Amino acid sequence: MSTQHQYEDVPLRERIAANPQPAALWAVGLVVLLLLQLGAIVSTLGTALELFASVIIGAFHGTPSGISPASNVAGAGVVAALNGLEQFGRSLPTLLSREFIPNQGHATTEGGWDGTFLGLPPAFAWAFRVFLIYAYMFFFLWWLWFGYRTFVSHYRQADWTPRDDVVRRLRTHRWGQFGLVIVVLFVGLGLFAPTVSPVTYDEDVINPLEYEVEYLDDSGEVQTILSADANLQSASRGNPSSNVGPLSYDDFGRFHPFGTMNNPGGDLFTFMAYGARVSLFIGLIAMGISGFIAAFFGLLTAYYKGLSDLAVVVVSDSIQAIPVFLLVILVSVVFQGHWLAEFYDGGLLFALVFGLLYWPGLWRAVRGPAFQVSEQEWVDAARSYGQGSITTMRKHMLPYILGYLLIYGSLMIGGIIISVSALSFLGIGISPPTPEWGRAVADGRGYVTTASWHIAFIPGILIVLVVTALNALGDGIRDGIDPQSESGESGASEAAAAGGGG
Amino acid sequence: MSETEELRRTERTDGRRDLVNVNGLKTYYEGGGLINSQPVKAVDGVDFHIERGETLGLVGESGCGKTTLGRTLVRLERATDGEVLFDGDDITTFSGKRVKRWRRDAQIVFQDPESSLNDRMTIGEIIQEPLNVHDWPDLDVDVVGTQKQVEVTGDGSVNQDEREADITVEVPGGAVTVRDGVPLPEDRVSVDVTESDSTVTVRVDVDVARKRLRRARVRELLTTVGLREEHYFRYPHQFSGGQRQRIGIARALALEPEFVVLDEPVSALDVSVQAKILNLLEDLQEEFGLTYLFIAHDLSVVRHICDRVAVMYLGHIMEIGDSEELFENPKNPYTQSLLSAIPETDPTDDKQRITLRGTPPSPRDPPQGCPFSTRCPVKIHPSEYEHLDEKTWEGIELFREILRERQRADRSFTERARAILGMETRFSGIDEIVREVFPHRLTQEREQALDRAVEAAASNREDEAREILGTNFDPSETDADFDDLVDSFISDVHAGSHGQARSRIRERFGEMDVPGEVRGDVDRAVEHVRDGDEQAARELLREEFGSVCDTEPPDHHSVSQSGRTSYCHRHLAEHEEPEVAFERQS
Ligand code: SF4
Repeated sequence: MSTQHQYEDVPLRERIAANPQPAALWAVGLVVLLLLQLGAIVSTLGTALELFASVIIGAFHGTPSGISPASNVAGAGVVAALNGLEQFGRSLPTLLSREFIPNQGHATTEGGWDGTFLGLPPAFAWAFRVFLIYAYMFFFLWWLWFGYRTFVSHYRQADWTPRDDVVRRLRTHRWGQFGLVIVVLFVGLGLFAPTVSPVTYDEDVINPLEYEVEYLDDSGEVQTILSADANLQSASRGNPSSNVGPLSYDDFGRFHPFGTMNNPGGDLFTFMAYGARVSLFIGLIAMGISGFIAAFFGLLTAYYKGLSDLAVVVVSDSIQAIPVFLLVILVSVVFQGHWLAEFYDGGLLFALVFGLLYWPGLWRAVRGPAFQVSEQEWVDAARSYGQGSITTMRKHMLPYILGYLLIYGSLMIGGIIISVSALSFLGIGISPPTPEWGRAVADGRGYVTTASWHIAFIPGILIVLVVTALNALGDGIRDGIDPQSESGESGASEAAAAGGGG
Repeated sequence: MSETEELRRTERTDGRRDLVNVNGLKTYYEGGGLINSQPVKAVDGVDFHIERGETLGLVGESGCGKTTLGRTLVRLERATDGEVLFDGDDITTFSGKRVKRWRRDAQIVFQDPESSLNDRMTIGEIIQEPLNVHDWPDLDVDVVGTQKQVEVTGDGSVNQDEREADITVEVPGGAVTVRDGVPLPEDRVSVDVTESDSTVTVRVDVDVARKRLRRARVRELLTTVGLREEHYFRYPHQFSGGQRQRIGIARALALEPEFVVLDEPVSALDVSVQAKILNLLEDLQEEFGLTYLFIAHDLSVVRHICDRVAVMYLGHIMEIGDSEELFENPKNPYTQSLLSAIPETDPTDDKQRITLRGTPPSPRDPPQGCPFSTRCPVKIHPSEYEHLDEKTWEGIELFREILRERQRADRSFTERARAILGMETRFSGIDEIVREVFPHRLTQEREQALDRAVEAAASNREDEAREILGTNFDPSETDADFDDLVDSFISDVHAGSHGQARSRIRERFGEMDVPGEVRGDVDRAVEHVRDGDEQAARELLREEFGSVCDTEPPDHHSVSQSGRTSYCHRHLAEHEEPEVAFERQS
């Protein structure tokens, strides 16, 4: 027998050790990028974990820990600790923060500005900060892409993978790239809401009575006024004398990129940024739940077929027969005062309801592809050498339906954003003070023909833009993973979007 | 093959020559509908065996159940009834761990190399997956040279199955042999033997991780099937059909099976590649002592590679036996028809071609008697009708077939309703069917008139032809449009098809040209159909013209010294042998 056996395949670790330079370069870059925003990252993480922990604790105790009595001291401790983490994050140095590049200050009699970044006018200071944030974000994404390229050219053992084709097709897909850019802008808006907005939401809406604004009055004196009062006096109410439109300053030297809102006033851009956060939160959670259920049932019904398929068809049909808006109204009444309804003023509740209601559409979208792949002989082959059913589904079927989940998921997020906005517009959605785009449209709809047209118009346009972008992104992914399907699928995708729209 | 390997094979044989024994196997698929649907009888009771080391061919038209049979043997389909003995054990009763263990011994190579490999995995991952599933290698240890109780510790374990142990340790001394097929150099195995009065404890340490052994095994497999090691990190898309099939074969061989089902392994490949793959399969069989079930519809391939052949039709094996013999001298009427369809390589051979009429019946509703009875050219006829000529028989069988077909065709709801209301449906038109199916004859006088009309039309005297037809045939005798009929008659003659022109007129104006006793029965059957009672019509015809072929499933009769058997009533002493019947017909 031959004794000359080679074990020449090398784990990634050793491949990197053999040629460490490109990997090291990339890793150093990544660390630098992360350090730049360390404070923001830690505090965002803290916020997310705190929210998550509160939901878990709430689920066990029925009340959010903050309100409950001594019954869950431990839970309260956890939440407090996470809150501490968030605070700690805030204390960490962060390069691109509102503290480092402040846009709030007062004009000086000499015509300059006091308190703003480098004495720039607030508009410029703000725009500079927003520019830096987005530059950071795009650079960060590019750096990840660069990491992938580094891996491909230096460490990957296969000289070609099917993913390369997808990437190649996406690289020339302009419509999909347009969608991606808009979606990144939208996600950035939500993710960095505290930094990109001209004023924090806390100061603007939640506790305006606890903040003061300094401004230069007509007589050349620096005065202070409560934020609440400043907001009220600079609110947009339709007539030109009491209106602060887009890209203009109010009487207190504050810059409003999107203008101000009506009663009780406040910055529209700030509202939109924090609202993006809420939409993103609801959309992602609902999509996560739906996607998980849809993938689970899609694999199950395609693998076992027959009765299991029939059962899921019946269940999903029943769910699709439920009038979504009626159910949502019902739920918001039934859950009034319930601890679940307190997160984001009903936002979490909506996310759960949408997640549990919208999976049938997603399941139907992946059912066809799942059946198709289950008919492939490699699934039989896996059975013939005794591969377990779960592993077979995960390894031999799931990769083929993930793409479809992404496509329809991105359409669904668009649909959910519309639905939530529509509900808020009708006044049964997310209640104040949590910002929601649809509510801005509702609040501003009386002013559309007046000087304060921006209150309804800007959120409305942004909703359309974001939903279109999500659709474009979905189209891009579809063409990337399945170039044959071009026209055949569009009917289905429109249906999915329409379904998502409730 | 090493000596121990050889020894092991003979030992395992255990005096049992057959590796696979199939008895009364049935595989039915439940019908698609929810209510009251007939199962598809894909495999409907087959018996055969496969000897160790041989290749059994399984041939038949598509849809005859051969693929289902193959898949049932490797338990990709559940057997409905019957048993599949593998090395003496009925695998249809296995469950859980036992199935999994057994799966190492029986593997399958699929037909479509495009679909049998997961495109998202590298070739290495694909071939390695079966190894991962079974946590290959076992690293089981045989300790030889001692009578004492043996204990194995460390990485190894005591060999418990019939397979050859991966590692053999000799005591005393602790000399190590690793069997072929495990890519492990002996010097990477360290052994520590401790002996007490009654036991020997062997500690075996292997300093190569299983994962690495598997990868090395995959590389070996790649070269075994004629690919290169560097293909490990490629994806299926980067390979041609033939190469992909090699990968499929490597995957099937990964676990060192004894039995491999080859499900039309070359039918999706270019002819130039087919031969290479077939040679590879033969080499592998030689090298690893494999037993094959080779499923194919290409008969020449089967003849080339198989020791024995089974011919399948509608879920049954019609003939099974030695390959050369079966091809040279087929006994079963179906085999004879099938083989006569192969283009003859020897032009001097004047063997007649047998064309089968119709299509195979639906496996949901197979014939009661012989599965081939609806199409068999030498079907046995009842003795009282033995004298009828071939044309008449063809007509009768066709007529019965059509009535059966009409029974099966799903009638839509409206059609049923119309039938109940006594309205015309597409299922009427019985006269037309009778005209089509049976030969017709004119009176002598009319026949002569027809001759004259043909002659006139042929010499371009159309008007005369029209006149002859007009005076001799009364348009009111037929429901067809007379002028149209004459027009097509003339154009047929002009096109040179005189026969067709004549039969056009004969069909319309003639009498059914069958012997009187048949005529009466057909007429009665037609009456029944007119009354809407097709059931009665079918029964009547079966009663009158049916034979043992319609009512009784045949037995397998031995038809040669070598043990070849054929599934046909004609091998019984009281009937003519199929060849004789074919001979008589021609
Ligand atoms: S039993 Fe033989 S003769 Fe009769 S139908 Fe079947 S094959 Fe033909």
